[in-house]
Amino acid sequence: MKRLKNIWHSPLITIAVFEFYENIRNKWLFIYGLTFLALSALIVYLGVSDPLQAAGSLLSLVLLLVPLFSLVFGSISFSESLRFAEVLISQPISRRDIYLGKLLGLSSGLMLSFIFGMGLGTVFQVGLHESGTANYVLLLILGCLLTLTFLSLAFFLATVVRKRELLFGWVLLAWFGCFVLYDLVVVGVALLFGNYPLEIPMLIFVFFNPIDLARVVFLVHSDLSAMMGYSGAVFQKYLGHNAGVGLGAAVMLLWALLHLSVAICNPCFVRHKLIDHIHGLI
Amino acid sequence: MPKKNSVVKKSPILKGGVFLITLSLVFLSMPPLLAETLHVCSSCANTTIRSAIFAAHNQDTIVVANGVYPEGQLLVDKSLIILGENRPVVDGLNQGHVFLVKADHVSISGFKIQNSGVSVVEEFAGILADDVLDCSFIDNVLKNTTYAIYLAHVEGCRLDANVMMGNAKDEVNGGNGIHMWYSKKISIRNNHIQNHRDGIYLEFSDDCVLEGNKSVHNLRYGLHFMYSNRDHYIRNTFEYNQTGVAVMYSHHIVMDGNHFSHSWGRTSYGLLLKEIDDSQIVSNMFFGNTVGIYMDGVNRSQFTENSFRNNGWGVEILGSAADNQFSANNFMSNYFDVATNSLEIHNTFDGNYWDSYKGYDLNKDGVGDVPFRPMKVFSLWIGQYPELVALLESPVIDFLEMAERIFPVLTPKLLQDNAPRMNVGSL
Repeated sequence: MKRLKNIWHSPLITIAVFEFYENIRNKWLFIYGLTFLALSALIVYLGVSDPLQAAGSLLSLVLLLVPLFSLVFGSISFSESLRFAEVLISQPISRRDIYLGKLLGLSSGLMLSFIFGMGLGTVFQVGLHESGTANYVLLLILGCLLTLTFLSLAFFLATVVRKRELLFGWVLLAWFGCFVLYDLVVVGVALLFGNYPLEIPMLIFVFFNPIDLARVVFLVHSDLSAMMGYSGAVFQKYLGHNAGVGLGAAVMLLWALLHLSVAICNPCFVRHKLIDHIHGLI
Repeated sequence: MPKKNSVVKKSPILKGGVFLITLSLVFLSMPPLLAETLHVCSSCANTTIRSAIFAAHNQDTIVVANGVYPEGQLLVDKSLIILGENRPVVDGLNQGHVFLVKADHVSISGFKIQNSGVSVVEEFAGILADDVLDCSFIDNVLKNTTYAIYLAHVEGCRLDANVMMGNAKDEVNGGNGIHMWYSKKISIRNNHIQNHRDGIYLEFSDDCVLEGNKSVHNLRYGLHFMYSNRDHYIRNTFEYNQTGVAVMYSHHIVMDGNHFSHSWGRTSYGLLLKEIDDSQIVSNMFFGNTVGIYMDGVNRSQFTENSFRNNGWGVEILGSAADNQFSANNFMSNYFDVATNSLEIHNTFDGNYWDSYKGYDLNKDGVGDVPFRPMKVFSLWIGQYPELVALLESPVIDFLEMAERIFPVLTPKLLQDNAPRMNVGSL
């Protein structure tokens, strides 16, 4: 009991809870949730006659908005709170606790807002597309995983890049890279090496981009998997079952963990460097 | 003299009348020479259909009253009309065929026929007609039969308004709804077929007409042609089959006004054409199939006034298809309208409606002023490198399309509709 109390009063949780309350009062999170509510409700309403296209459109919406907003909002939030971090760091609190606490608070705020918007937007339609309910739940799970992955990427970028304007550049580049450029490279590889069997390399490619991973996991679990034909069989094999969702989730969490550990071990985040960093900003 | 005279001069009309009356009286009092009607019921002279067939002669009619008749295999070796009243049940007791027809001019109608034999060696059917002329099987319900109606070497048969509820569990052991083998001039109308391997199957069967049938939920094909020529199928519905219709190794087939929908799956097609020549595909609707029409080795065929809606691919044309014409078709809400695996296409597209056409029509003649290239660069690549399906729903597809709009030079020049319609044609 005492131990439990200690955990609850650990700096990490305190910071996370503080960050969470701070964020759910943020108007941008409210707008974020409301956007999801409006757009998903609209898509589902218009897609009643064609559930397949509705599912595809919802997927596109999640793949577009969640990473973009997580990256932009995460990097702004992190760089804005550096001064407060300076105060915290003067206390006997480890860097790791500050970093993880902030990530935990921010990501739970973002996820809550996403689930609220998307969930409420689609829940009224569950009766209309009975077969699609599992798809919507999967989409919510994938959206949450994407939030975590891209927030950790945003934090990582914010610790590496000092200048605010440069940071924005990097954040947008990272987003564009994951969203389109990466897939363009995949197309290029397929065109160059099309004479070789490419199913397994494609699977590996997909694992290296969280947006692609979320997309393929959703595809193989939806009716759209029929369009993937024989070439999609390899995806069906590795990602097609409930265990496949688990595998996808594990890989995305691994990405988040990688960013976190690199960021925490990053020399930029050593205490005196951090202070330099903040002074550099001022 | 005059008396004698009057006898001799009897009116010829009266004479003929007397003769006719006598003749008809004679014939009416000789029933065995004309068609007789035998009744089968629990209190009749014949309590089983088998004994009635045994007692009957050619051209007789057997009327079967309502009831359940556990008959096993019934051999019909005389030209009989067998009628069921209030749909009596004929049970084959899982022994063999239920009706085995081996005589010409047999008609079977109004029955519920159930429980044919199950075998891996023989193809047991609800009604098997073997080497006969002119049969008609009308308004029967066939249930739990491996093959429902099986015609082998039959000419001129009518199958109307039968309902066939199959029991196929897998493609290996399942049977077909209507199976035709070396049969000619068969007319198949308004039947309902479901849960078989193939709904209707034609092999070496020419000059058949299939109209207004509904073939649904079959394990493999709703309708399947092999080496069958000059057949027409019109106004049929094919839904939820693994593949709607497969037409293979045939020529001069007319496919008009059919509805192909919901053939959705990894190896599913609305209409699968393989080695087909000189055929007409007119006024059909393809809705919600993985591939609307898949064309492998199709030559000199006309595709006119069809609608392709909500399919994964509207038309997939392999390089082996040539000299086909697509005109006045509607392509709407498909993921990809046209795909191919070939760098050369020898088929023409003219005057179709494409919902992704972004051109304009300045002179308002209903025809777009800018040619349309329905084959986008990505749909070409995905045809050549199927591994690219990994990028399905990826924004990169829209990105490439946007790039093509800005730099039209990127769009493959394989395929061009020179007169794209501005408005959707009749559905």
